[in-house]
Amino acid sequence: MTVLEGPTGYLPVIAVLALLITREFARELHHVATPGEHRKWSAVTFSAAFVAIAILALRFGTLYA
Amino acid sequence: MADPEVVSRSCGAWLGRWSAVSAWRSTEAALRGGVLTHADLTVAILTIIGVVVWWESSIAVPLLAMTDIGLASVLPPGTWVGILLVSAAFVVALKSGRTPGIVLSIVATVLVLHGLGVVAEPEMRFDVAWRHIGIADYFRTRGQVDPELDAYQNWPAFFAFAAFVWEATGLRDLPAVLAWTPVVYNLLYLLPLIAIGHRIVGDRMLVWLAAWLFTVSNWIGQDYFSPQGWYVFIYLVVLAVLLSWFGEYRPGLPDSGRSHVASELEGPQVGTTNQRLALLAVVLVLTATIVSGHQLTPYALTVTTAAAVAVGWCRLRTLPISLMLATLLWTGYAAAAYVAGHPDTFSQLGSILSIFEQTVEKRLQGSPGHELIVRLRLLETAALWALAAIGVFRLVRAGHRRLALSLASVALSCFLLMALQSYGGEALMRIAFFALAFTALLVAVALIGPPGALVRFRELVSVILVGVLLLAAFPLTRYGNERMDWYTSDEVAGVDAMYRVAPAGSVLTSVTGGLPWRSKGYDDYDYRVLVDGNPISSAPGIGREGTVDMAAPDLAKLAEQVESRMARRPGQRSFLIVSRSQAADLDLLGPFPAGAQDRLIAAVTASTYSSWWGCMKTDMEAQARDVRQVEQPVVLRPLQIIALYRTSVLLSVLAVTVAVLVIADVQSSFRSVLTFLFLMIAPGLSLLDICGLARGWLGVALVVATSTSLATLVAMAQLYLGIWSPTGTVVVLALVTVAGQAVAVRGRRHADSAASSSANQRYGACS
Repeated sequence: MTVLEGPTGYLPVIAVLALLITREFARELHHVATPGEHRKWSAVTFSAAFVAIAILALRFGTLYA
Repeated sequence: MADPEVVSRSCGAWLGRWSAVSAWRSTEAALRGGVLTHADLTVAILTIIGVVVWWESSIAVPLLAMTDIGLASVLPPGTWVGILLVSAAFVVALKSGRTPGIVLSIVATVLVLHGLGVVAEPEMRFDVAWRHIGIADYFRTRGQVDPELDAYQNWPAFFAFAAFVWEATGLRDLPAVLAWTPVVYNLLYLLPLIAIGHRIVGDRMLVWLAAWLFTVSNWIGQDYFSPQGWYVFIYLVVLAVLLSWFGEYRPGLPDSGRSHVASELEGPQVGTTNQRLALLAVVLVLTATIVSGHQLTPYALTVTTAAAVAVGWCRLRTLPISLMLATLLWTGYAAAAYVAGHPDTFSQLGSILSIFEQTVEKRLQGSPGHELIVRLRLLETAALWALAAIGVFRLVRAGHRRLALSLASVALSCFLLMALQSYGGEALMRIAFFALAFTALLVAVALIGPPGALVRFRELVSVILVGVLLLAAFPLTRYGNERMDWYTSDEVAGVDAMYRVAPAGSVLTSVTGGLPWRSKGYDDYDYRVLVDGNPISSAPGIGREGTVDMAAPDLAKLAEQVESRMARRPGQRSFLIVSRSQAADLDLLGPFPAGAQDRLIAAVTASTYSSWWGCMKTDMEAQARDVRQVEQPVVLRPLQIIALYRTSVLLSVLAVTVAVLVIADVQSSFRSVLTFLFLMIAPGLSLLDICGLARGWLGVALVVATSTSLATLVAMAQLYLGIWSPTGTVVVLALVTVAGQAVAVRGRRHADSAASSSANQRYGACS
């Protein structure tokens, strides 16, 4: 798992963070949170967050190995 | 010819009479005009007399007579009288409902409670605060981060900021200024707390009472010069912004089946799109400093934000996930050196019982006096939580079920941190601190009833009763460890002398670490302690770890252990420093019977090794002087958002002046004060002013948080990139300030011209 030590480990997590933050900015920009509207989380966001958490879990596993 | 002295005296007397008469006349006029009420006058008189009595009494506390229950054992009656008068002023102000009186009395309460240690003691208290100065000094002088050194280097944001401010202001006597940190921090905490209170309960009386309760029940003592103290302020600001601006647009979430915990809040502030985007950006900047500045606070922010999302108080649903990812990202990569060297970081994950045992049972040790203090602290915390539960009950009974459950959920969310790790036995204490703002709101509800309820005599009596109990407990719970936490001027001078004598690279050994040391030469010496928290070892060659057996019956063996701990390389020198505060530390916390340090001194003096170590005993009983020098506080003037273009001109002139002073390296107190004010206020005010966000209590908190966070991020980037330049950071911040105001002025001109053209159109249509 040494591949996760460098940029190949942290860059995907940073990309996911950027995605999540961009989505929040987009929501505020388009002001979608109007009364009665039901917002659904996109599958892409969930999957991306899951991948980032998996990478970090593997990273901590490597650190303690 | 008239004697000049007589003339001057009679002129002085006449001026005194004239000023007294004119003050009385203006007061009378204000009373007649309704500007001032009799309640205001009572509050002002009680506060002024209280503070003066408190100050005069507190500067003459016989500190050397202190017992194991701390400062309370030596407080003169005048200090108690001063505290009671200021508290009486708050009750009068609360009853009158007048904001100026309430604010004045709360500020005075912060001063008399959290400034007590500062005024009563001759030097900055607490060894960790001194160590933190040393870490800032390390960054200031080295201009780089060394992650292999310790945890501080892996979460350096706060120290990068402190190092930058130190350099930029050109301050010389840092401890004298930083001694006032508890007062400044506790005043800052109140700004976001008031904003949160107004947003959640919307009842002025409840909010002000909660602010006062927060002040009198904050015994936790994390508000010294420390990252955790600072980031609790940023944590509260982030929560205040989220609750005030990013709440759900609708009150409940019936379709998701969570209506029972959904908020009863009115709609959040909507503002303009630009305002919301700017605030979101500010939240990200603030959280970036929290993530890179402290180990525990990001987790607290994550769980509290998640709770706010769950109860419908925050619509930024991915924010808790982003926070968690950012925290783990920093821990796993930027702080990898620390984490790899500490495999126990996450080893306690989920072991709640073991963590609870470490945070409660293991703290109940030491001398009988110290145990009493620990029990009092636990009792006070439990009592506050019980009152908070009553607050929840009163809200439910009054029909505010959703509000009750939501507030309780957010307050209790911090308890999830118990599943993380014991945090050196401090987990429960930190949780109480993170939850205190919400606990205080619930306690306020318990005392005077739900929002909108009429405050009758009965409620006021309950406030007074609980208030008196909390006030009586405060000096005990807050300053209970003071016997070991305060330092005499001679102790500080002793440590200074040690640094002058000891060449860089020497071994410096202290008995317990309860010493005002490491504020300089943080990485230049080999620091060791004899009682290091590890189990007691009986081996003569104890090495660098393990607690030296101070109770060993054989003094020669004790001396051998000390020699082993102080072992030096050829050419290296080794010093042992012994002081009053360390003896107090040993007596209070153990693990040896009282008088352990005297045995150590006897062993060292009688040993054959005394020829090569310098034993510097600062015997305070012999040298103590009653004269205490108390530095004047650096008082921040209240932030005033003044007229439109005047603000822009003032900020720009301030930015340019500070940049010139720093570039020219002008050494004066004028530069220190001006630069400090600029760094605390200007960049944030300039940027927030563009969107009209620098308003109200939250506006003031946001200005300070944004200014300091921007400086932190620039300074930290310089440290990591190896381009440390405090002057460069000041120039960057000055440019940000000027550019921000240029944009703000442009925006206002557009708005003005749009308004006038709209008016012209209307006028044309009418005519």
